[in-house]
Amino acid sequence: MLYLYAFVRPDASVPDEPGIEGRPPVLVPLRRVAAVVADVDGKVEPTDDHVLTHARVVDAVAAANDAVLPVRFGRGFRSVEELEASVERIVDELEEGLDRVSGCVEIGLQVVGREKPTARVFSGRDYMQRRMREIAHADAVAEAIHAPLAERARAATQTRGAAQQPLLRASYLVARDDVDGFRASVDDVRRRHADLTFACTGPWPPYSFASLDDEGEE
Amino acid sequence: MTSDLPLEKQITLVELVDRVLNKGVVISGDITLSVANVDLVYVGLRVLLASVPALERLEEDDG
Repeated sequence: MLYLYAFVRPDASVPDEPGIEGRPPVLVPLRRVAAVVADVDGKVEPTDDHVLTHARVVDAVAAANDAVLPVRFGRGFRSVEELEASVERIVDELEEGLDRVSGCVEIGLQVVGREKPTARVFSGRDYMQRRMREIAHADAVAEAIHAPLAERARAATQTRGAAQQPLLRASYLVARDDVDGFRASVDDVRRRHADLTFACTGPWPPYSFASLDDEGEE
Repeated sequence: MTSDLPLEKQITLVELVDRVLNKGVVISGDITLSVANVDLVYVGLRVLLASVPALERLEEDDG
């Protein structure tokens, strides 16, 4: 079974980083793109060790190459021919994707508000009205934070996930040589919102900008 | 599950797992390798914290 980590350009290099089951990933050139794959014997269960190994391989490939499209965890193929047939159907999108992320990394941002003590609520109607005001306010704050950063980045997505409801959860596609400048912009925004907690992560390989449907969401 | 960790580390951990499991290229016609309930993967994540480079990057951020 071939386990798939990432797509790259055909002339990419694959660094020496052990993959799942300790198998070193190799480059499989296809038409117009190449796949980074490694043999696996067993089932690739979504264990923490496998998830981390997948992330490490993608990290290493991204560090060694300008253009990398990370593949979602858990994709495998019985043979190179089967991989080739699947790739053939999306090769245009893969090429476009590689162009889009070339020279870029992803910066993640989560903004979390402070928990407010819940005031006494006298009726369902009062509660609903207050909740709606709170939601409108949170949306406005999130937009005020996100808009200038999205403007500055090459591309941006807002995502929602399994975490406790952050005020804003976003990813920004940023040129590698602009990471420090972009973080300075995040700091500027952070200073304007001293009552909120900002967590800026990365740089990551551009996972959030690899979706071929152009959406970060499911 | 990870409540004894600083908020930033918890966030980085969730961000890492979310990216690997929920982002990235989805290629159709493939065989998905026993990834039935990826939402359940948010277990046992403490182990990840030991060696994720992004955590160090995050600490630099906040430094």
